[in-house]
Amino acid sequence: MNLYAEAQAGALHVQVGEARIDAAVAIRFKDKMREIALQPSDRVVLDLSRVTFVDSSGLGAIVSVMKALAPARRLELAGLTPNVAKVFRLTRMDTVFVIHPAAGATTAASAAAGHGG
Amino acid sequence: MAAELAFGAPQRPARPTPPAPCPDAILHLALQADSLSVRHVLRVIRARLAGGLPDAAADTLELVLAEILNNIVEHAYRDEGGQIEVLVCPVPGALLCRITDQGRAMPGDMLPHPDRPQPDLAVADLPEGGFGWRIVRDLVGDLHYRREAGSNTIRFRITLD
Repeated sequence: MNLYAEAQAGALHVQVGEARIDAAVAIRFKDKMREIALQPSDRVVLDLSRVTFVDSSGLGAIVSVMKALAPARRLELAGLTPNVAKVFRLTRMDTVFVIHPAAGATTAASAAAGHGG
Repeated sequence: MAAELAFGAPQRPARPTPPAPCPDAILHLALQADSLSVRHVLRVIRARLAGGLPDAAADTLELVLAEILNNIVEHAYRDEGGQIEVLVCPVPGALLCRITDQGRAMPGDMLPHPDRPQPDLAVADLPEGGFGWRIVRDLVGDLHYRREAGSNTIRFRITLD
């Protein structure tokens, strides 16, 4: 599970360098994200632009990371590919996360504008 | 190690399922019940169906198979391994799929029917599981489960459009 973390404009930006977050890697993903999130930051932005497949196990792992960061910190998502966006839509998790259209559009201003509550 | 077994190889299921109801199956294979074999088989299926199916149908088939196969790995076989058979038959406008395993029965001999999460749940109350059957039920038609003679059989239809 390749995850690349970088501090950017007050957010910890994590690029997932894998095509799949599925049942085979869900636990490793969750563990590694929790480890990476030890770095302080107000927001954690998960860049999924290289991910073409997420199943329910992968989705559960992403939700679990968000719950582990809350309430002090927020997990936001960026760059969902169409197949991945569909899984979030089907399970209504698209209403739970702040989702940025592209990995570049993750400034604090756009995050504030896109966050409904 | 190859995870996919040619159907009819020595490791065929202990209780063979009845003959395939379609002679022109586009896919008929058996796999070992573990998450890496599921991943491998999904890649094989994508490659084999490339060009022959609309992308949307191939995406749907991959996601639905991932959910059902991984559910069998984790719950029917409880990560102890076993064998799963996958059959995909083309019919006009749709794919008919049948998945068979010899693991434990579904609780209550029924497929789960989870509700969608409420839209206004607090983060702390969000579910971390139960998404799989919700996804499957949204994407397939004619979903049926049968427990018979130690085998589980799940059938469903994926519409091509």
